[in-house]
This record gives sequence, C-alpha cells and structure tokens, in this order.
Amino acid sequence: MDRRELVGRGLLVGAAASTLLLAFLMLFYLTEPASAPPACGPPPLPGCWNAPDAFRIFLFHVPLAWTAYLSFGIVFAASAAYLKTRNPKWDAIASSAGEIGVVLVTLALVTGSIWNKAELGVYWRWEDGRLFATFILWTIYIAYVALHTGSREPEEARLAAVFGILAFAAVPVSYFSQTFLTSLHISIRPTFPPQTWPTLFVGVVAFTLLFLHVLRWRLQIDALELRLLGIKETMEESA
Amino acid sequence: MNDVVYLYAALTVALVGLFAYLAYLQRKQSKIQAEVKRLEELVTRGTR
Repeated sequence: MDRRELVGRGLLVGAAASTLLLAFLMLFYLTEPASAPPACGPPPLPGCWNAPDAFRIFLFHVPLAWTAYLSFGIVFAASAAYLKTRNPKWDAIASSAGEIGVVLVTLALVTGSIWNKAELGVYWRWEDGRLFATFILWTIYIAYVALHTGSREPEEARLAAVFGILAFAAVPVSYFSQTFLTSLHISIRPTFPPQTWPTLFVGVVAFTLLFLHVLRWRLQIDALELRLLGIKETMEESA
Repeated sequence: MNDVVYLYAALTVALVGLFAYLAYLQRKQSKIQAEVKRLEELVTRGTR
C-alpha cells in the first residue's frame, strides 16, 4: 500500500469514526424524546407516539436503510458498467456492494421491527406495505449474493450483472411503497422533535462514510482472493 | 415496560451486527493473507 493510499484510507476511517461518534452523542444528548400526548392509544393515533424514547431508533434505522439503498444503487451502476465494458473490476464492485447492502438492509429490518414492537406492540405486520416491500428487496439481494458466491467465471458474472440491474427495481418499490401500498408504516407519523433532523443528517453522513470504508476494504479482500487464485493456478500449471 | 429498553435493544443489534460483519471481513482477510504468504513461500522454495 503506498503512502497516498494509506493517507486516503486513514482520512476515510477517521471521518467515519468521528461522525459516527458525533451521531451517537447527538442521539442521546441532543435529541429529546418525541412528545407523547396522554390520549395516544391503543390503538395508536396519527401524530402521536406510544414509545417516545424508542422513536430514537429512527435515527439509526433510517441511515441503515439509506446506505442499503445506496449499495444497491452501486450494484445497479457497476453491473451496467460491467455489461458494457466486461471489466472484472466492475463485477467486484457490484458483488462487494451487494454483500454490504444485504448486511445493512438486514439490520434496518431488525431495528425497524424492534421499533414496531415498541410503538405498535408487534414485531411484524405483513399489511405494512413498506415492511413487505423491504422484505422482498432483502430476499432478492440475498439471491443476488448467493448467485455471486464461489465463482468468477465471466458467464456467471454476466448473469449476476443482469440480475443486479433487474433487482434494482425493488429499491424504488420499497422506498415509495408507503405512498402507493396500503401502509401503516410508523415513520409516516409527522411529529418529530426539531433536533431530529440534524441528528438524522449526521447519522446519514456517518453511515455513508462507514459504507465507503467497508466497500474499499471489501474490494481489497477481493483483490487478495484474486491473487490467491492466480498463485494456485500457477502452481497447478507448473505441477 | 419502559420503552427505552427497545432503544437499547435496537442499538445493540445494530452495533453487534455491524461489528460482526467487520470481524468477518477481518478474519477473511487474515486467512487469505496467510494462505497467500504460505503459497508464495512454497513457490519461492520450489524455484530455488
């Protein structure tokens, strides 16, 4: 690793760590609990929070979901670039972003379910349009990662790239699902304390930086795997 | 139950999940690096 790369990596890690720490501090010390009028329910009323402390889950649930959408956007763009250029670099970027995206969307689903339990009393409701659409998104990208595992053949990379492009259709469906599917998703309730938005912004920046660092790291591991394969092939040829 | 418990539970899940993935990447990298080093040494010895 040369000096310039080392400095770039250090800056990225430092920026990600410091913004994550700032988001964490803002989560606890700056953001007040959401207001909870006495006649909140059950059943829950619009504009009212049953769990005014647990609403802060929103402040890391949304950044997790945002970075998952970003990773799937990168899968889409890198898959398209691979199909156009057939450069294995794009395939590596797409598969790495897909793997990270699955981890992030899994965490977004789990943290969202815990918030759902706090606010509405149940972990999961299939009638919640966004939950349902995000669950479908999760299964699609698990299939994408499975398709990519264990092979570096160009034919399979091409198939994975086509899948990566088609799978992206699930992202806008998941994002806009609460407007066009019958949804009871809790984030549509309007009353957030004013400090919510700066905390959310810092959280989104922190998770984006963390994502970029992990993507870079994952690509280095991918390059190392390629080197290992190269050595093994050389040894087999000379044996 | 106090709803702050759910906040801590969700935060724990998010942190444990993220660190578990980072630990997985670290482990994978170390394993491949060790294998590359071992094979490179074998190749060097073989060509001597």
